[in-house]
Formats: sequence, C-alpha cells, structure tokens
Amino acid sequence: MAAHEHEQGDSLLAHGDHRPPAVAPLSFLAPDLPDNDEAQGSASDLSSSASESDLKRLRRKSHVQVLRSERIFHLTLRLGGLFILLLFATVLGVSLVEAWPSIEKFGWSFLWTSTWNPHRHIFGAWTYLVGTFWVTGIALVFAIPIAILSALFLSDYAPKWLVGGVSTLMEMLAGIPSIVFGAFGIIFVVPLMRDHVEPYLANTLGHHFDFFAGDSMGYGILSAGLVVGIMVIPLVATVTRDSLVMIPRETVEAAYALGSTKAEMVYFVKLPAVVPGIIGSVILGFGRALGETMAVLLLIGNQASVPSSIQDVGYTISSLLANTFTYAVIDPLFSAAEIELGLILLVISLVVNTLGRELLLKLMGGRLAGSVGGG
Amino acid sequence: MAEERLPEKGLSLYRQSRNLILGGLTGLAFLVAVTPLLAIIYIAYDRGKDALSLSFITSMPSGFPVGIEGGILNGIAGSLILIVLASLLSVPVGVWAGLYLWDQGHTRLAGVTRLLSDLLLGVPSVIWGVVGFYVFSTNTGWGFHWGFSGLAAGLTLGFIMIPIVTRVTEQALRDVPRSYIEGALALGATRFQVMRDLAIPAAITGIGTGILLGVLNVLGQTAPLVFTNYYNTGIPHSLVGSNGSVGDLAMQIFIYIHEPSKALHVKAMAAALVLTVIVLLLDMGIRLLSWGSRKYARKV
Repeated sequence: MAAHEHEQGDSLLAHGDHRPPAVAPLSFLAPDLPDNDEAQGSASDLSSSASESDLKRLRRKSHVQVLRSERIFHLTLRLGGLFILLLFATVLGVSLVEAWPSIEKFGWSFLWTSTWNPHRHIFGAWTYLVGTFWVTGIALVFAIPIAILSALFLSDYAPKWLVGGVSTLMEMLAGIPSIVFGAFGIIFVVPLMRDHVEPYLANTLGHHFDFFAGDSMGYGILSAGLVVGIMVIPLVATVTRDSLVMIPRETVEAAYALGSTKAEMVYFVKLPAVVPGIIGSVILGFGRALGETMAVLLLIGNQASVPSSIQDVGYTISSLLANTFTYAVIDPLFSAAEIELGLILLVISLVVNTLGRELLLKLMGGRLAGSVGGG
Repeated sequence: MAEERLPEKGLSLYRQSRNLILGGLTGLAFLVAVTPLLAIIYIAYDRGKDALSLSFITSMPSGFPVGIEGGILNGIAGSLILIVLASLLSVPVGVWAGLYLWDQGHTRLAGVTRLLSDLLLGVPSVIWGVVGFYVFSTNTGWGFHWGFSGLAAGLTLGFIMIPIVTRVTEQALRDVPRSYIEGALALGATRFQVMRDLAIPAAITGIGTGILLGVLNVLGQTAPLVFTNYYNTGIPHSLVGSNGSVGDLAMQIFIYIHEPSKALHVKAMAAALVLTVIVLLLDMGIRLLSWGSRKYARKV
C-alpha cells in the first residue's frame, strides 16, 4: 500500500520536472536536463557537466542514492514473501516426491483398493478414506446443529452482560490442545460409551438397524467422532456468530416492523441471510476435523477395517500415519503408500480450506458493499 | 434493545410456543457446547489431583515404568526448548513475510503469497510431521540428517508457526493508520525509514500478539513430534543426533495415557491439566495484550 503511494509520488515528481513544450526542442542542449533519468534511477554522464551547480549535483546524488536504497528495500522485502512460496513448495514437493513410488505403481486404483498388505506390497486407501470420512461425518453431524444454535444464542439470545464473557470463554476453550481432548476421551468418554451409551443404542435402535448394533467396546468411530465434534464446535460457532452479527440492523428491524416474533425473525430473516457464512464455517470445521490426529489415534481403536456400524473400530489417515509411519520408513513402497495417503489428506484439506476462505472472504466483501449501500 | 419490549399478547399459542422453543433450544445448545469443554478441565483436575503438587512440575520422572514417580520437568523443559527453536525460525521469517505482504500487498505475487500462506494454515499436523521428517530427521536421502532430535522438531514447529506469524504481522501493520504513513512519506522519509521508525513501533504489540498466538498453536502439537522427535525422559545435552530428543508435555501425556497403568493415567491427567492451564493463561495474556493495544490505538 505504502509502496503504491510512493511510486505515484515519484512519477508525479518526474512529471513536474518536464520542461514546457516551448523549450523542449532545445532541451537536449541543456546540461541540467535529465531529471527524468534521475527518477528512473540511472545516473547519466551528464552529471559531470561543468555548468551544473554544486547544489544540483548534491540533490541529484542523494536522490539517486535514495532510489537505489528504496529498490534494495523493495527487493529485500520480496525475499520474505519468497520464504512462504518456498515453504509451500517444500510441503507439496516432499509429499509428491516421497509418495511417487506408490503413485507410479498403483495409479488411480489406489483410491478404491481396500487391501493394505505391507508383506505382499499391496496398498489401497479405501479403508482409511472411509474411516476418515466416518469420523469427520459423525463429528459434523454432532457439531453443526449445536454450533449453529450456540451461535444464535451468542448473537441474539444471551443477555448483554453475559455475551462478552461466554464468547471469550468459548474462543479460549477452542485452544485446548488435541492431546488433552484425547486423554479426556480415554478417561471419560470411552467408559461412558462402553458402559452406557453403546449398550443402550444396541438395545434400542440396534434391534432394528444393524448400523447401531455392535459389541460396545467404547473405542471406535463413535467415541472418536464425538470428541472431534466437541473440538470443532467452538470453531464453527465462532465463525457463524461472526457472520450473524454482521447482518444490518435495518434488516432485523424491518422483520420486527412486519410483526414477526423473535424466533420468526431469527429463523426467516437471520438464518437465510447467513447461509454462506454457515457453509463457510462448516467447511472450515470439516477441514479441522479431517486433519485431527492425536485424539482420533487414542480413541478410534486403530484397526484397519471398514466400519459397518457406528460402534465399530476403524482407522483414519492421520491416525495411521502418526501410529505406523516410523515403522513404515524401512520399506520404500510402504512409506510411499502412507505418504500418498497423507497427500490425499493434504489435497482435500487444501481444497476445503480454499473453498471456506473464499466463501468467507466473499461474505465479508458482500457485507462491506451492503453497509455502504445501506448508509 | 427494542425487541425485548415487544408485546407478546395477541399472538397465537403456536407462534408464542415456537418463539419460546427456539430460544430455549439455543440456550440448551450453548450449554451442550460449553459443558464438555469445562468438564475436560474439571476431569483433568479430578483424576489428576493425586499427582499434583509443586514437586510435580519441578522434578524429573523416575520409577518403572518411567514416570510412575516424579514429575514432568523434562516435558516442561523440552516444550520450552522447542518453543524457543520454533520462534527462532518463525519470528524472523514470518515477520519478514508479513512486512512484504504489507508493503507490496497489492501486487499479484503478494496475492499468491497471501493465498499460499493462508493455505499453509490449513495443512494437517501429520503432514507437517512427514515434511519435518524428510527435511530434518531422516538419515537417508536428502535433508539435514539430524535424527529424531529437538532441533528437527523445533524447526518443524517453526514451519507451522510461520504462516500464523505472517498473517498476524500483516494485519497488525495494516492497522497502523494510513495517515501516519502518508504523513511520513510526505515529509520525505524513505519507505525503509517509515517501516523502521513508524510502522514497526506502532504495530509491535500486534506483532508480539501474533508470535504468542503462534506459540499457543504449537504448544499442544503432538503429531509432528511423533515424526521428528518422539520423547525423552531426561534433558538432552545436544539437540542433534541420536541422543538429541527432548521431552515434551504433549508427547508425555500421549505416552502416559497410552500405557495400561492407572498410576500413569493419573500422571497424564495432571500433566494435561498443567498443559491446559499454561495454554489458557497464554491465551488470556494474548487477549489482554491485544485489548490493551486496541485501547491504546483508540486513544491515539
């Protein structure tokens, strides 16, 4: 921004130094002419001209020096940006290069092969993809309604004196490390699931749907999904609340003026208005849940099988990598297959995060335009 | 607000009850959202209180299996080492990149850089672990061949911190009023002088907040350490090579909770409480800092 301003300033200065047209035909004879050259940063031979006053030479010298240092400054700063490009290239490059043996050998069929056999050198991603999406799905099904309703509570229903405190509390709790959630899951959620929730599910819904039946081990996709859901709620709720409070007051008051109750205002006016924000926050939550590692690793049971019931154990991409990568590196193809799994996770995360980012940026842009239009 | 005084008389019972139900649901959902988060802190305290004492944070783990007696000093020291190493890499690089995005943010290259920096924020931590493993730890192929070591883990955490520091630095610099910068430029200051004497001093609290935010983010990172450092029950003399691993609070919790031992689980919950308290205190500090700087900015 500052750079832009300054460049404009320079060009204005250069423009001002142009001779008026009447003198122009003769100007190539004049020794103190090339002020334009100064502005472009090139020192010319004419600077040694005898007819030039000391004052002018001094001025020109300092001007050239300043321009040169500005240029160096400009380029030096650009190097800083280069680090980011380099880091991104490293992340993508390492994953691609190290995954290449597996990509080359299995091709696209890697995605839908469900065999994972290090001894026979057959690797496929299907089991882990399904496990990852199971955990993420359970987490989101649990988290989204709660998060959206909490966001409504924070933006519309909580008493004014409470809002600041509880919003901060929620944001702070979002920072509790994943490993603490995992430990909490082992100590508290797993016994709760094993002794109460899962037997209950098996005895009620489980009689009618195999999907809810099972052995009630405590560990499994249900526990992992619930804990990841708890972790994702603050993120989704905070982002949704941020888009809810952006809705112009006029819209809300118009709804009241038409005689709606508070619930009708919220349901028919506010919620439809923040659908892009909700989608954006859910996408961000999806990205967060997808990459969740330690809590899932501790809770999912780590067994490479495709879950058929909500009580089954499973394996996700990230927990597989964290659990077995250090054994896998002794075998190039084994480690390449694991990194290809990581690459899939990386690509999904990047796509998901770009989508969420663009949606939320667009929403913010829309808000700015709206508030300008509304005065 | 006006809506609190709305006359509810004359509404049909259906509309009245609908109104109440949605209000009740939101409150209930909020409780469901916050209760587990608070329960985590309570349960960590409840299950870990037998191990909690001052000596828990000032003594090294001992006994068999290691950790069944003693404390978590190795983890605290290791986490500190890792944070210092991560900051040494990410603060200069992140601030530098943030300055670039602030100064030349309108260019296309800067737009790409900003997008990539934001995307790096979303890279899963296992991927950072894999990248750190191949860049720093592995003993075959290319890379630094540092083994499972504190330096490898610290710099990997530094990678994670860079985009955070970059983004917050850029934001803090953008919050410096334009009029200041234009005034300085009009007085003939060079852009370097504007940056050194005006923008950075004005944004220094914001930049500090960004650095602390980065530290907060890597403090609880466990997955990258599994790939680059693992764990050490002591404090190493060197940060590189086969004996260069450091302890770490998060790894300590992970290892203790993975053991089939009730006593170690108690230690794990106590360590989890310590880690959570550190994280929450740091978070609170960041909030106070940014609140203070906003108040200061408003006064100016």
